[in-house]
Amino acid sequence: MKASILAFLLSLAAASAFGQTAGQTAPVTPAAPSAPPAATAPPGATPSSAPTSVSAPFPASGYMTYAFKDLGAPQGLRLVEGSAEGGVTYMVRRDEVITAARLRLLLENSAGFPADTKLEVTVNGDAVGTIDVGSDRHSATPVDLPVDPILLGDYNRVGFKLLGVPLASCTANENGPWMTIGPRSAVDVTAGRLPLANDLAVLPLPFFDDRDPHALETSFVFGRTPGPAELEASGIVASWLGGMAGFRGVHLPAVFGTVPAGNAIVFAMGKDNIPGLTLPQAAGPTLAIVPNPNNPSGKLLLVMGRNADDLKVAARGLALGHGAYKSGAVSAVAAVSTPERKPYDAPGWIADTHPVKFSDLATPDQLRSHGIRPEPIVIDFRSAPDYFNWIDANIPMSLRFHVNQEQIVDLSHSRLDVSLNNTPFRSVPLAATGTLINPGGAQHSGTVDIPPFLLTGRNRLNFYFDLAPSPQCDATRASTLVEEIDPDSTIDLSQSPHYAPMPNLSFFANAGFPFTRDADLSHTAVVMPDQTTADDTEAFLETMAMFGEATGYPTLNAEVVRSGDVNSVANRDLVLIGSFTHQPLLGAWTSRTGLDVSAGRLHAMERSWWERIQLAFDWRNRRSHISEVNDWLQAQQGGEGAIVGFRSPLNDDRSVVAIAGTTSQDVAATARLLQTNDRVVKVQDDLVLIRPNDVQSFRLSRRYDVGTLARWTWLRWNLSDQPIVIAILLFAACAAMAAVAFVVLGIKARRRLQGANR
Amino acid sequence: MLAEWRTQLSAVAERLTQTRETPAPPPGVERSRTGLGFIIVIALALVMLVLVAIAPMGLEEQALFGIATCASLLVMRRFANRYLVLAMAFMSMAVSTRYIYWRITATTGFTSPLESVLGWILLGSEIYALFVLAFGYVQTSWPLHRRPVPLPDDVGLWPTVDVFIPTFNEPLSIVRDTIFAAMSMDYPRDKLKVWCLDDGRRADFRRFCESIGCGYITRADNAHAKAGNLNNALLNTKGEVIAFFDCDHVPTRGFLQMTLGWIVRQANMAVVQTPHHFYSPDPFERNLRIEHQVPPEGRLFYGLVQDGNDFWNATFFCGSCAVVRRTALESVGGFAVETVTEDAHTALRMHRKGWNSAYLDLPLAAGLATERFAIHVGQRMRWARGMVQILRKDNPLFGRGLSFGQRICYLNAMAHFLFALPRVVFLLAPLAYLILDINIIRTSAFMLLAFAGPHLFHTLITNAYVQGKYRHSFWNEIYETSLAFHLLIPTLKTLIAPNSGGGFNVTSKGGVVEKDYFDAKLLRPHIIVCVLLVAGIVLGALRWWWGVPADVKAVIMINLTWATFNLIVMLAVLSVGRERRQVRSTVRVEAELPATIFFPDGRQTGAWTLNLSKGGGAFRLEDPSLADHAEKVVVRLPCGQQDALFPASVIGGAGGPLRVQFAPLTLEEEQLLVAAILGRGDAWTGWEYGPIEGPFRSMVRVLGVGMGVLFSRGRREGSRQ
Repeated sequence: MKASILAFLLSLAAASAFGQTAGQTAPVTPAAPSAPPAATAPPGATPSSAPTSVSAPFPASGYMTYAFKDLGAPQGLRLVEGSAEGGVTYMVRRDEVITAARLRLLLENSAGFPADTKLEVTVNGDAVGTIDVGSDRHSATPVDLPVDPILLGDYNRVGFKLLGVPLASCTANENGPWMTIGPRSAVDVTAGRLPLANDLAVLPLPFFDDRDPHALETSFVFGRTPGPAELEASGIVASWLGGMAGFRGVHLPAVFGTVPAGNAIVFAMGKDNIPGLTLPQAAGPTLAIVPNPNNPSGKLLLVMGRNADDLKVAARGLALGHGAYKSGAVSAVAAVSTPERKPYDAPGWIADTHPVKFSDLATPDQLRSHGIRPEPIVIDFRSAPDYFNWIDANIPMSLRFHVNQEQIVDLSHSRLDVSLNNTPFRSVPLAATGTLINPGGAQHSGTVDIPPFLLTGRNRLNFYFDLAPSPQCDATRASTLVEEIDPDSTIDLSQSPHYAPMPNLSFFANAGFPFTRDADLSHTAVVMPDQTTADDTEAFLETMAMFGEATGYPTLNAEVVRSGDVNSVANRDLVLIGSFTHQPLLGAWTSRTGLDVSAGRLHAMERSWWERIQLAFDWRNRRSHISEVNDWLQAQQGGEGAIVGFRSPLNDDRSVVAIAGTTSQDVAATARLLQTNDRVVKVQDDLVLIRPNDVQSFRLSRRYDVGTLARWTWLRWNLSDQPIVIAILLFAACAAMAAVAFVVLGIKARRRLQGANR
Repeated sequence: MLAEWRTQLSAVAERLTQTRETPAPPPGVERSRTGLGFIIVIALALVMLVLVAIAPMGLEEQALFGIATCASLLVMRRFANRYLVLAMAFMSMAVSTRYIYWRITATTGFTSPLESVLGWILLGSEIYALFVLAFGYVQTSWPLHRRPVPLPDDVGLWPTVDVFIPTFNEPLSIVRDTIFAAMSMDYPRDKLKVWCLDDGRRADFRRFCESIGCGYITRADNAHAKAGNLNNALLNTKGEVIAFFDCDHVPTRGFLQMTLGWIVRQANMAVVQTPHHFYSPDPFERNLRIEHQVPPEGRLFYGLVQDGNDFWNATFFCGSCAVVRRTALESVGGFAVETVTEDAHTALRMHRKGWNSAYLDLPLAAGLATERFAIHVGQRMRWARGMVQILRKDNPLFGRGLSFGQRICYLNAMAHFLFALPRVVFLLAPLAYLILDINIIRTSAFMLLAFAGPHLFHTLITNAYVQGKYRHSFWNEIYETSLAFHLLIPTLKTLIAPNSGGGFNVTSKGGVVEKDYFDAKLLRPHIIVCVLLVAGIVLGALRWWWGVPADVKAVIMINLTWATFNLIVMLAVLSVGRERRQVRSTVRVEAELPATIFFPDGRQTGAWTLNLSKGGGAFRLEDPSLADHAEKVVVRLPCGQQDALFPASVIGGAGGPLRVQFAPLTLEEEQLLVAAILGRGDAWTGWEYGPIEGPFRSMVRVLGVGMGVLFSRGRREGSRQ
């Protein structure tokens, strides 16, 4: 499926490679290649037609659609009486100019609004249209509003306001009339591409622009099948891109021996050559930017060197920046030395050596909300996923917050609801918290304990002020109400030990754990099949991008080996990539977890009696899904992808995660799953099976614990899942004590009756 | 894999046989090695038990663990022997310690000050209960079942004996039986002297004593009450051994023969104690109508506890039905006067001096139980105050001269009387949730069930096995609950200020209850708590009915069950306060004695007594026809070593047993009759306490007893004799 899309894209020589990740956004028809240039912008488009491709003195970049759900309104917008305003923000890429735009709105509303109610739509404050909100509307037909591109700047606020109903009030009428603007409503634009200089200084443009909410897509080009050295270098670059792309995700197809259309990154070493591309001579580690010979609007970033070491130096220089290379079209790259990293010090992760202030996690603006029915305050942060999760292992959060006009709030009925990763875990009554009266408001403070099981690698803290208005409340004052989480509030992970049962693929999917324990992956090796295909390589690149995204740091010290050399990396955590038939270690190793891939087909094996006894005593881990796995596998013909986690057969302290599949395409599809939001909920336990539109997690093998605990805690933890062993201990101890007592007391009783004194 | 196993197994077997073949070490080495082995085993087992106690578990794990331990307990009980009972006790302790550890570490996250205070009070009470449980297991780990040893053949080696019968205000009608029986004991006349110690300075007592040749000692004041009275008598007598009888405790003729053997055999044997046996029903037996069906309240102490104490050389003197060596008493300066339970305190002092004590579980004397519940309460208040006084003034945990076992046994005897506060706490605890709506155990209902269930189950089953013959399940709750409210203040007050409170109160006996009545004044606290419990149960049921989430329902269910159990116990206690009519003032015993009836016309017939009292008796005649129309008869009864004749008049018997009333008796005749009725050596053996009841049947009975107070208002004392 992927290949066909790729082919399709390649066929559109002039079309943008910056479309969308397949299957992620609504299907969009690519615009026809550029229309003849026109001198001036047209007056605008009519609502009923598709946006006219406005002629511009630039190569057309394409027709792009930005859904509201990607613009900060994942649920769309909802307007009601008393809360009748809302909006989204749309940003224009730095290397594009908008030549035509329209809003495509999916509107629904109930009946019950006053007859003259209108929805006013504005772009940066200028009205672009008003829509009658008469009787109820449940139409799937979008309302199109043309937008004059002149109105658009770099940052654009698309605003919605209901005219004719109160905008703000103290009491929201949630049961009253409502209007929604659906999350698939979109800003549709036709963009022209601004010419970029062949200058390394513009990096990461054109590969990445933080204003673009779409997935980062760029090809990685190799002259021939890459060896471990090229893979290590390209992995560093992939992780750098992954770190920048963040939530957007990446799509990094690998191409061997040809130059694709659009932007691409080319890796060349020594005498490598790529048909159709003239490579400059590299006298050492070198970076260069050249136009794509196949596509004038595309750029090629060349990463070059005489040998493997040079290539890696160039890749490191690219990823680390720090003046390792100079501006201009070509630059030699200096070796950058990096300090040795400590475990759990990934720059993207919240520090766990000391309490962390909220001001380090969010801007003051993000910590504020407004009005009597505010939006939730959201703090996103990344952390290690393996904090010890058990009774009394709570993570303390010292929380302070203010409400600026408390007299209009009924404190006794108002609460601050705190949730983490969509799970509410504490509701703080405003009246009960300790308050310090400030001028015009009051400050509340207290400690809220976070249950550690809520903490996954990627975390979203959500603070919602559920306020009840007091009788003094009026609409004017309510509109000036400001709630604030104090930036000096802290979250303290310093007392939480790292200790977790493995395998746990949700750790892997959410945080790249255990590999990311060292942010530079200095204890990780990736084992590639001897015959590495383009799909295997894509899977590798996207996995490395995922690590970069998880840590915010490039995978500088990850080692890549062929499967035959695996013993040289026995003391590392291993990522195993390859199909069931091409990756020989899969067959050799997964049998330990109860999986059989010998025939190129996956199959869960029945347990031996010895394993069953072990499992029976392994109370906490007794769950096993053998039959479910086989049922799932037999439910459908065809190949599947698989992620398998298990303990390293080479080293008890190390873990293995295999990214596998029936074919290489399945392997690539598996890696791609890790770029989607599905991973957060669907990748768990120790086996994930993937088919198109079907992802399932299973547990097969016994768990093992990684990390260290204080001795006392360790003892208690290891006792806690052994009820049968504890019962046997009890019987043995009582039998022994009773035997001793029986003998000793019996002797004593005989003596006493024989007349001895004591 | 299998082959590997097989090789390993055969290697182990080989090693084992080798060990067996090694020559036995010399005996001394063997013993020290055994001792070391025991220490290692104990150390290992203790480590294991600590792990068992602290192992934290989730709900499923704990439930599985609990089921495993409870099931194995039932198996052990099925095959119980002395060894398995010890194992059961260790298991019970381990499971309960685990529960308490969990309670302390995982259920005390209180959210308000009130919750904290109430929660810790409950937890403190549970910790107290755990200690009492542990002490109890130690105390009863090996009941000694000591048998009497015979006195030497050479009568010259028999000690001289003074018998002390202290009295203060009891009527002569009661005391005279005791004096008669004491004087009739089988012992050389020249070595036996009976003394009536009259602190009431009553002329009729003096006259009576003089008329029958009993010693009479009195004094000018009543300083130090009973202890002072006894000390005064000690100064005025000189027998080597002193036998003590409360004025209503009638000894059998064999008392001295049975008890003195151990005194003679062991030079440092200071005390030989026998049980206090009661031939009249105590208030529980009478008011709950459970006589001969449920062991009486004192049976646990005299059947099990004192016997268990004997193993640890901690049997203590109980003031009566015991013999004490004079030199031992004198070595501690006579009876202790610092506390109101001089007997236990004196025994403690003798033990500190290294004296020995022994216990014989033989009913060699019998007395009158307290008639009314109110009197029982008064008696126990004195005991409780006295024991707590000792705890404060002469704590057995500290000071010289006691072994570990003695300290534990004495401590338990004293700490037992602190039950009042914990008992009240357990009674009221469910109301904290049902009425006040606060959670004093901070955990989920199911966790509580999973942890408390095995704890309660082990405590119940193990104790039912250990104590079953002496006290049925749940009766402890009734006995303690009946006293708890009245003991609460006195014990706490005494614990804080040991010299506060009243002096020695004499337990009055031998009274009558003219008609049924309910002692509402005495039982006022019980009634109030009953009402509260009912209110709590109703509130809880309403809340359940109004619809609450499942987890809250579970909490309500637990508290409702608890409150209902408390209510059942409470109702049983209320029944105790309903005094039933008791009019007979003379004692009637059911005994089958050979007798001969002489009729005025010279004919005679053999007969068996059906029952006998000082007033008269009923006889089954070998030739019933002779009884027709007879008005006067003479009865010959075996009285000790001789037979005696008693003139009597017939008051009934046509067609049935012959019932006669004795003519007024001379003192000599009366002494003989007392010997015949109460002084027989086998007078109290084979006393029936009813079959052992398991926890379930016992619960049913308690329930029935409790329901009785609600539904049997109009019913009269039954036909039981």
